[in-house]
Amino acid sequence: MKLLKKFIPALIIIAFSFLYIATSKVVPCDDYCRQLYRLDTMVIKNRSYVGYVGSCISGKPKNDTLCISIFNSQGIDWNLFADTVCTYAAQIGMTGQTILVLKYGSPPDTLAKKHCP
Amino acid sequence: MSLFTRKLAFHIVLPLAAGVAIYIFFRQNTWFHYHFLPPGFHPIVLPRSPLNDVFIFNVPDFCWAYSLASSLFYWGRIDRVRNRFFPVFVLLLIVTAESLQYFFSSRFTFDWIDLTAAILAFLLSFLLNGRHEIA
Repeated sequence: MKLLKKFIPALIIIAFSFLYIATSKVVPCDDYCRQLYRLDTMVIKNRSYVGYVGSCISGKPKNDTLCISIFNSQGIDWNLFADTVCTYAAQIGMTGQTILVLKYGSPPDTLAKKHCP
Repeated sequence: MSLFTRKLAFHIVLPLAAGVAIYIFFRQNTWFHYHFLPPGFHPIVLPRSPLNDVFIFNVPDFCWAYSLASSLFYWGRIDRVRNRFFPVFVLLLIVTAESLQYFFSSRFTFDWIDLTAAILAFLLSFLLNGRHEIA
């Protein structure tokens, strides 16, 4: 029993280390991922109504459909906004993307859908 | 439930569960989501703001560090550890865990705010759970 008690801190540290590694490790960021981050930065800048720019499927970062979550959908031409996102995407070499502009909610409303050249 | 068990739940289990819940439900595209959660799982999206960023990125680290420090302080209490350097060991463990990310930047992301949050969590846990260890 005394020996077992000596192992308790080691068990605590191992358990917390496992959790720490599982929640701190990052998905390796490839070229596509870096492009996504750049696009996210460009779209978010001065647009407080944008919540998220990225892959539509969490956990599968690489696909050709991008989702943009919008919080406040009033007074903005979303087709024009999607065109602007396409322009930004083209500037950083992301071609052939489908842009889905979604009003955040459950289920989300589609505000605009655009196939970028 | 005894007072001691309630304290364990409040200072160890609850912060750990809160940190994990924030991580799972509010973070996007993490290694954990990639490997352990189904592809259709959609975390909650919060509006971009410095306060929300702290909530999403730093509060889970704070919770983790608080829970770890508390669990070691409670073990010290149970095992009657009377070493005056024990809290220093706990602090070093937490600071080392956060600082190691700086040296493995391809796999982890080092953040000064995370380190600060972890140190604050240690201090809070020390004030609430660890002070009598150095008697």
